[in-house]
Amino acid sequence: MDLPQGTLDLLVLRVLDTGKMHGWGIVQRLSLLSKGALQLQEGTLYPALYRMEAKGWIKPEWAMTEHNRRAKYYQLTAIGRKRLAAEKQDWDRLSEVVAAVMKEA
Amino acid sequence: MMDWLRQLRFRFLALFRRRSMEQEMAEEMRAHLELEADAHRSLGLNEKDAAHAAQRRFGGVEQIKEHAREASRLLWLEQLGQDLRFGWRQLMRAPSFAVVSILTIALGIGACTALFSVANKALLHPLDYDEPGQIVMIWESTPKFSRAVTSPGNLHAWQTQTTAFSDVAGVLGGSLRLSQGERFLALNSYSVSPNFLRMIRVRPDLGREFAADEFTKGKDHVVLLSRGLWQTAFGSRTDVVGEVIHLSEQPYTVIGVINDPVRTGNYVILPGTLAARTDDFMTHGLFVWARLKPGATIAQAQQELDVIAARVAAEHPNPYKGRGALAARYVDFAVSNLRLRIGLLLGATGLLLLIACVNVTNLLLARASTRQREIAVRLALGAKRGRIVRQLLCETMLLAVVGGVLGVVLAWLLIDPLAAAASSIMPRTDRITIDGWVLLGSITLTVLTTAGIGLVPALQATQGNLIEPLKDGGQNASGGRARQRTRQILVALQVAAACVLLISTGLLVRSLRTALKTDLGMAPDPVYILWFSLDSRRAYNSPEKIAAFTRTALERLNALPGVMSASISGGLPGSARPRDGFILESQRPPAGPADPVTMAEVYPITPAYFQGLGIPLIAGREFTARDGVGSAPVVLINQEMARRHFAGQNPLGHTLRLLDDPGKTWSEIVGIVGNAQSFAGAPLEPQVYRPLEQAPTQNLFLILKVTEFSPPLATAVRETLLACDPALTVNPLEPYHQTLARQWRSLSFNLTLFSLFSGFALLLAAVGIYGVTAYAVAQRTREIGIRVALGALPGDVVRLILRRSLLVVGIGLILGLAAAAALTRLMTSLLYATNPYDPATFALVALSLALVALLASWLPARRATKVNPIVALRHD
Repeated sequence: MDLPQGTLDLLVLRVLDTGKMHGWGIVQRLSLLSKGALQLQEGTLYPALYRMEAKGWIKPEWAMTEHNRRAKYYQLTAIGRKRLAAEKQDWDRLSEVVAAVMKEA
Repeated sequence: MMDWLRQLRFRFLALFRRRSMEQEMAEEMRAHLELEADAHRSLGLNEKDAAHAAQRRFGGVEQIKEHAREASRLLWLEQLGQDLRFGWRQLMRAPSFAVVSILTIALGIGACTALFSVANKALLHPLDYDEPGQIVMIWESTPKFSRAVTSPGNLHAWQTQTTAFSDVAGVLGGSLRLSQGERFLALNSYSVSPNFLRMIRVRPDLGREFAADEFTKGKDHVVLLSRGLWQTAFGSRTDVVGEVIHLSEQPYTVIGVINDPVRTGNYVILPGTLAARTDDFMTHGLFVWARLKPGATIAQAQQELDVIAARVAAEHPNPYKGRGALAARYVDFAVSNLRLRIGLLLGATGLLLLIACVNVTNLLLARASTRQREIAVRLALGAKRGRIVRQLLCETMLLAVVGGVLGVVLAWLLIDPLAAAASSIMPRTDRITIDGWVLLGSITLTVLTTAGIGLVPALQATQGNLIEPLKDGGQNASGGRARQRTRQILVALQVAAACVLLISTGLLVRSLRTALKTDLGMAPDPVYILWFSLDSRRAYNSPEKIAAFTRTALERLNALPGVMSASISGGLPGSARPRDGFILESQRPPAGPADPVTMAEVYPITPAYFQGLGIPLIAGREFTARDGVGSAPVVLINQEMARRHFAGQNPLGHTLRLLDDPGKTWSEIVGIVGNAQSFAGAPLEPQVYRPLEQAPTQNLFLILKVTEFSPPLATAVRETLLACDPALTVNPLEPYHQTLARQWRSLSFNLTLFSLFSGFALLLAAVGIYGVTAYAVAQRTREIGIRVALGALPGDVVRLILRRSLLVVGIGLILGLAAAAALTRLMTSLLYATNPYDPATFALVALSLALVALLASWLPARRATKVNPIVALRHD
């Protein structure tokens, strides 16, 4: 499935809201949460992560995984949290409006 | 918005962490792969398969990295860096092109800025007063002279009876000599009325202004030094205040240092006592300066002055009958033809800049042709048009920036020597700074030109046919011809511009030469002069003693080998011209009131004076040894005086009295001599000569007519004088024509300025011609090779090249001569007695330019003959 950039950002932020995660973990989580519908390509994810890092929404940190592998974990910053709330609000409004129109039209 | 800023900051900082970021990214990808492989392994695949599976799912790592990179960098900045580096390498591969372009830009910017800045300041410095538009000069207008100096009585009337002025002040000019050890320094002196400094709104740099009681005789021996004088003669010492100095043998106390921004040379300001004689309507000599009140107009002032003048004429018909008062704005008087001169300056600057830009354009166009193929190849390989344009722009900007920086440095270096050259017509006090506007203008123009022309190859190549330039020999394709034509037109333009500048310079040269040769009524060439001063406090407190000294000194000097005649005088045309009022007794015995008082130059002289300077005797007799102390007082007058005051009558036998003569004696006019002007073109002045022994003075000139000058003679003269009295202050011997040449300072300065403009223009034009010809030769290498292979002689080849080049130059010359003929008319006011269409100058300039162009074309043409035909045939 092809996601618009803004929506992808929203999803990634939401995933990171539950705790810090590395890139592969985010892919797996999204796949899980969407019941397999969302198979995020790495070529899409990493650029998005770097973009969000540049904007200051997330910040990286190197740490050890449970299997003792070194991986780069990302976590939300305060700005990112605010951003998440804003995006969620926008998304809710959008889906409300679309649903309303679709129902009536 | 904030996001964007954060992003910018991140990407900018990322520039410096490139390597570590790359490493991190690589590690992150690797970690991802590992985790993926782990997942596969846990599903049961073995090592290798797990790894493969992970890889396949992951996709091309490098491409991902590339995408990821794009999110984290400032792409445009990196590309800019690349372009600059590439541009730099390209320039290094054609070093002569780069060097010539940079030097041309630097020269254009530097020369124009420096020359304009100095000339502009020199031109405009007379306007350096506060609100100069409000300053007015008030003249007496007589039927004979529209602007004449006035009397203290008139000044007082103008001061008290006008309402349009906030201040009216009088200035009396004079000259004094400052004694400094063994030598002395000539100074201008300005004796001013009490409100003068307030009127020009200038306060002393050091010390204080004059006190009210210092404007009375007896208390007036205080002086303000000029800033320039303070710097050069007093070493900028702050302890100079309170020091007693000797001006023309009189002690004066220095009370401060002041800078009148408009006066040039070394001067002192003294408290004037003349202005206090408010009921003296006879003694003329005051210059009157006034400042209009805010809101008052000069027309109003003129009306008030007319009323006053009528009143004064009624009350003092002698001499004010028929005279009026004229108020004239100072700015109109200060710089004649201001607009014209600024126009000429801008014109010259513009022409030089034009030549420089044309040069750069030509160079870039030539280079553009060379790059055509390279650009075609790059486009064919898929480069984006925008990227190529940007890269070419970088290259030319590199040239422009380096050239620009060098230009600024050059301007900064040139300012000081130019200012020194201009110091003769400008106060030396302030350091001239680079005029910001001209600098900005010349930089902008050259940068725009460079950028504009630099883009031509990109635009041309990217619009057109990609195939043509790639073909073998494509350089010689027809696109080259049109561009060749453009280059030739540009060269013609350069030659024309240089021609105009050179002709202007030529005319000025001719002017100056004519000026220096003008007949002043004297023969200054074999004459040498020196100033010396007798110490009046000691031995020379009586006319007899002075007479004794002069007789002895002249006897001994005449005996020196090489000296044809020696005389001594108290004044000298071109240097110190003591002035005094005189009264004529129209007929003997006197009947009725004396004639109006007027001024004349008064020269106390010894008899050999006229012979020494070559002034002819017109009527009557010269002085002899018998006209001395105790004999009947006699004077000689010049023709101008005879003409003005004795129209129709024979002056011989009449008498006159000089106002400042302590004895108040009436002297008989015994002879008439020719006029001796010190400033050619200035109005003739009445001159009165008295025997030195009857009008002794301490500050003297020695006038020597020599057969041949030599340094031993100068030493001998000095020693002879000192032998007569060791306590003399003696200045060095100077050729008289050098003294006289100082009046041509303004013309000399203009000449220097234009010479510099022309010199640079000629240099740039020569470089331009050379460049274009060299390029044409390179273009035609193959053709030349064929001709030589077919038997052409070196001479034929040279002629071939030269023919084309000289045709272009010829057209340029014709254009230039025509333009000059149209424009030199504007310069007439700067020239002295020279025809602005002077054919000799035009012809000489045309010839010189043609020669220079010939040389500039001949050099590359000569190189063409060295071409090895085999190599040439393979060249393309």
